[in-house]
Amino acid sequence: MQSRRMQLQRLPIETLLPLGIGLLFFAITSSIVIGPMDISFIDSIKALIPWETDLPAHIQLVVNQIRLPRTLLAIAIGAILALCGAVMQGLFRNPLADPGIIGVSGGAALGAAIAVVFFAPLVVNYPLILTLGTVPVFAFIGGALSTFFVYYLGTDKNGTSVTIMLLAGVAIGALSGAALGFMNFIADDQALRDLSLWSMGSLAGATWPGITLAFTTLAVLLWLFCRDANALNAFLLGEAEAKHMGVNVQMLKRRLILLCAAGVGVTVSLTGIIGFVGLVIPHLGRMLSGPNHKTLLPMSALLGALILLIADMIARVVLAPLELPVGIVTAILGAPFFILLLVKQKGRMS
Amino acid sequence: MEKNINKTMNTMKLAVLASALIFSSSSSWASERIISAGAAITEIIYALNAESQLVAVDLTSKTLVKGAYPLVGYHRQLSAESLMSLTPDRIIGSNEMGPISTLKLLKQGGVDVDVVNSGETVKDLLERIDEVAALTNKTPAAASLKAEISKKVDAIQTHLLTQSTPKKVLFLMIHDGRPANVAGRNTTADTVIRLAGAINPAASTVEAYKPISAEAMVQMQPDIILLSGRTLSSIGTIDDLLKKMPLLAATPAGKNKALATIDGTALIGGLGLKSIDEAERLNKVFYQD
Repeated sequence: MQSRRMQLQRLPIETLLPLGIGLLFFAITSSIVIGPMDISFIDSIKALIPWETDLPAHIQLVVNQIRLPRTLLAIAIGAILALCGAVMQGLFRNPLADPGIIGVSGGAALGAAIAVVFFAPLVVNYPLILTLGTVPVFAFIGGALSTFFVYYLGTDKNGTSVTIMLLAGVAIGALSGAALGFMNFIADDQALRDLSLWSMGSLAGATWPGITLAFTTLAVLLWLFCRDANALNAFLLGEAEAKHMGVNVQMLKRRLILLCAAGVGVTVSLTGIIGFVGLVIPHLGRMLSGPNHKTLLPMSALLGALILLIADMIARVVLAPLELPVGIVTAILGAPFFILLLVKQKGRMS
Repeated sequence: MEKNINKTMNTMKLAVLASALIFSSSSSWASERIISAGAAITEIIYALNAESQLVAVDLTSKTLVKGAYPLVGYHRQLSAESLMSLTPDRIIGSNEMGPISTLKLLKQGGVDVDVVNSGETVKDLLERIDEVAALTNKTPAAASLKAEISKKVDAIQTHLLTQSTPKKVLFLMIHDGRPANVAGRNTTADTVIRLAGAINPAASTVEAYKPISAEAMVQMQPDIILLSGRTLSSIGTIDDLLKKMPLLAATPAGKNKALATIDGTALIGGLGLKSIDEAERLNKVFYQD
C-alpha cells in the first residue's frame, strides 16, 4: 500500500517538469481558444500570428487584447502566488502558512479600501487619479507597511522569531480587518460593491505594463528563491539546525520575507486578492515531487500557473456573458482539495 | 490644368463629405443593437418604446426588463469580451460605467460607448431622456414622455399650494435583527420625499443610507414613517413596527400611526420615471386634504 502510494504520488522531476509544461501549454492554448465570444480554433490561433492580417478586426482585438494578456497574467500571478506560498510554508515550517500570513494581504486590502472609499469620489472630477491607479498603489503601500510592521514586531536583538511573526501576522490581520470593517461602514453603496469585488480578485484588468511587471517579478523571485532552496531545505530541520549547517538564518529570513511581501504586493495590486493558490498549490507540489525545495519551488510555480489559468477559464465561461471573480473559483477548487488533504493527513497520523 | 485639379479635389471632398453624411445617418437610422448598462437607462429605453434595440442589460436592470435578456454583470465591472460576444453597436451607461480598460477595448472594437448623465434631479432626468432618445432615434417619443413628467411635477406643485406646513417624512430601511437604516441626503428616497413636498429630517445630518440610533430618530420627530412595500410586508402593521421600535411612539408619526409605503423598485438606480410616479402618489398620501 505504502509503496503503491509512493509510485502514484511521487514522480521524478524529469517526468513531472515536461508533463507540467505540456499541460500548461495545452491550458494556454485552451485559454486563448475558449471565451464567451464564439471564435473558431483556427481563427483564434491565426489571430496570434502578426502577419495574418486578413481576419476581422474584432477577432484580432479579442484574441490579442483580451484573451492573450489575460492568459499571460494568469500564468505569472498564479506562479508568483504559489512560489511565495511554498517559501512561506518552508520558512515558517507551518503547512498552514500562506503569503497572507505576514500581513501583506490584510494590509493590501486596507490600502485598497482607503483608495476606493476616499479617492473614488475624487475620480469623477480628476480622472487622472484613476489612470494613475490609486487602488493598486495604495494596495502595494498597505501590504508593504503591514509586512514591515509584522517583521518589526517579530524581531529583537536575538533575531527574528517566526513564531512571534506568525502571531503578529494574525494580530495585524485582525487590526486591518477592523479598519476594513470601518471603511465598509462609512463607504457608500458603490464603494462597497467595488471593495467586495476587489477582494475577490479578477484577472480582467490585464494590461501589457502589468504583465511585464508580473513576469519580471516572477523571474526575479524564481531565481532568488531557487538560490535559497538548499537553505530552505536545511530550515525544514529546524532553525537551530540550519544555523549549525552554516545558513545565515537571520539574513535568509529577512530576504525571503521581503521578497514574498514584494511578490504578493505586486499580485495584489494587479489583480486584487486571489486566495487559496498560495496555500494549496505548495501542498500539491509536495505531494507530487516531494519536500525538496529544489524541485518543489519550480513545481509550485508551474502548478500555480496551471491552476490559476484553469480557474480563470472557468470564471470567464461558466456564467457568460457574466464573469465570475476568479477568487471565488480558486476557493471552490481549493477548499475541497484542502479538506481532502486534511483527511488524508489524519489517516496517516492515526 | 491647376484649376482642373482643384475642381477634382473639390468634387472629391464633396463626395467624401456626402458619403460620410450618408454613412453616419444610415448607421444611426438603422435599428441598432444596444446594451444598457444602468437601470435608469433601461427604464427610459422601455418608456420610449425602443426596447426592440436592446440586446442585453446590466445586473441593476434585471427587474425592469420583460423577457430574457442576457445579463452583462455589474456596470462598473464590465468584461470586454463578454460584451463583444453580443455584437452590440452601442453601449449606454452612466459615468460610473467601467472599468476604463474595458471601455477602451470596446471603442477599439467599433462599439460606440455613450455616457449619459446620472443626476438625481428632475432636470437631470429630463436631460437623460433627451440623451437616450437621441441615441435610440426616438426623439418624438421623448417630447411626450417629458411632457408627462412635467405634468406630474406640476400637479404636485399645484396640490402643495393648498398646504401651509410641510410634513417631516423619514424613510427607514429595516432588515431583521439589524439597526434600521435611514435615508440621508444624496439618496433617491430623499429626492422622492422632497419632490412629494415633504422634508427629510435626516438629510441635514446623514449622507446615504446609514444606521442611526432610535434615539436620534425620536429627535428628528418625523410626522410620517416611510417604508418600502417589502419592508412593511415583512414586519406586518404599524403596531408591529412600534413593538419592534418602541421609541418611535414618542414621535408624531408613532402617535398618529402615520405610515406610508413606497415601491422599493422606484428607489433603485437613481431618480427614474417610477420615482416620479411614486412622488406624485406619495404627495397625495402625505397631504390628504
